[in-house]
Amino acid sequence: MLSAVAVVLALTAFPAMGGPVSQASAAAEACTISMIRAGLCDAATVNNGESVDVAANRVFGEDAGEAVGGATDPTHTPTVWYAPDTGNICDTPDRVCLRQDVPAEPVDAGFPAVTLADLVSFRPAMPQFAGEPAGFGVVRMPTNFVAAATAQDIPGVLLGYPVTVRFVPVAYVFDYGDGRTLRTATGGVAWAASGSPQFTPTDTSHVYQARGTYVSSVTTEYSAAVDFGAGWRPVDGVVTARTGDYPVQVVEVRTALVAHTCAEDPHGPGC
Amino acid sequence: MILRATTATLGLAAAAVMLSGCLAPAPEPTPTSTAVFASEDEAFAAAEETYRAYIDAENARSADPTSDPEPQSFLVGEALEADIDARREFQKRGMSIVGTSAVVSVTGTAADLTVGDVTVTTCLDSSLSRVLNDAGEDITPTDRDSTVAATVKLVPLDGEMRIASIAGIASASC
Repeated sequence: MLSAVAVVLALTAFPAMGGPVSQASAAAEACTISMIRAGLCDAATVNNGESVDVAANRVFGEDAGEAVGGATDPTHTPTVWYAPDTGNICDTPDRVCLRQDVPAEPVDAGFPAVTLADLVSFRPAMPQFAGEPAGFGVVRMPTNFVAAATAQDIPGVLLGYPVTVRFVPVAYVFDYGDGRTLRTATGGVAWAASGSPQFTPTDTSHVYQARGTYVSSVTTEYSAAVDFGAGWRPVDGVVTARTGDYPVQVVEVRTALVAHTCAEDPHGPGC
Repeated sequence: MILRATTATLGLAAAAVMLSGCLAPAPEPTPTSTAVFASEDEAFAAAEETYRAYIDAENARSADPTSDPEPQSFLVGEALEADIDARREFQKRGMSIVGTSAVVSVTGTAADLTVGDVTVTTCLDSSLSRVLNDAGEDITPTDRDSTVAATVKLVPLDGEMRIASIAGIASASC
């Protein structure tokens, strides 16, 4: 089945056997059957683009540099190495190490304290803000303001660790634009939603004393908490989010008897 | 006169013969078949037979250190060097493997019929084998995948297939 010519060709061709065959194994690591059987050749776990702990090196200890924890790279799953002959955790680079499962519970103390200043890159959504009647108010009558904000979970990376930041609205600060402000725990309720007639006083309504256009806004205060995967931890202080300006035109209302409707007499009083 | 003419004719004829002898096509070499395999199926079957025999030898060696054939007799080149290194390290660390591994599948990937190089993708189930230390304690890595896919290259040598390299396949499940 085999000629002498073929043997020579095989021996000379194989070491440089480039082309499709070696490309197919480009993402693979050299192994032996004994390493595969011992679980030391799980190429799937070494080819994560993060670490270069080639399977062969795990046995021969050439790359035990990233020994206990691997904590230098926070995106890399921490790995514990142990010496198979003693069962001890490896602490020197020249030890022969096997990889072992990571402890189940992340160590709480391993994460840094988080302050509000660290959360600058996490912005809660702007609250919704509206006035009643829409865009108008009447002098010496209540103008209703309603703000709405919801709790938000925002994933991201904080201090090098993957994290979820949770913002929960705790207070609303209404700025009515006439120098008066109101801080309340509720965002207010629309007249229609509470079943009240128009111009009924509410927890968040405001009475303007003079005609004019007032620029109002609301600032929502959120409490913040962070979760690095080990449970929620509160952050001292509040994060604020302010709406854009909402102009309210405050008018006086006067009554007058007229002979015709504005449709009938467009030039009549008040038309 | 006639003689001279005859001589001249003969000379021309001789020259023509010699000339034609020079121009005659060289004898063609007898065509000899250099192909190792007649078909891919034959190549893959030979590769699978060798690989399974190798795993059988490895399993036998796990149970008996003097088993025959010696598993390394199936290896050549890079695979042999890696295995010698690994065996030395296992001995140095007092590590040994007990139990058996099972060939789940051998799938042909590429074959050079002329040269005889064959590449197959194999799946090995080692759930029944354990790693022991010197004291006989089980030190099998807890995260070991019981089944591992590997690319195995085989080359013909002395009329038999030998395993030239073994490589784990990244992110391949089998």
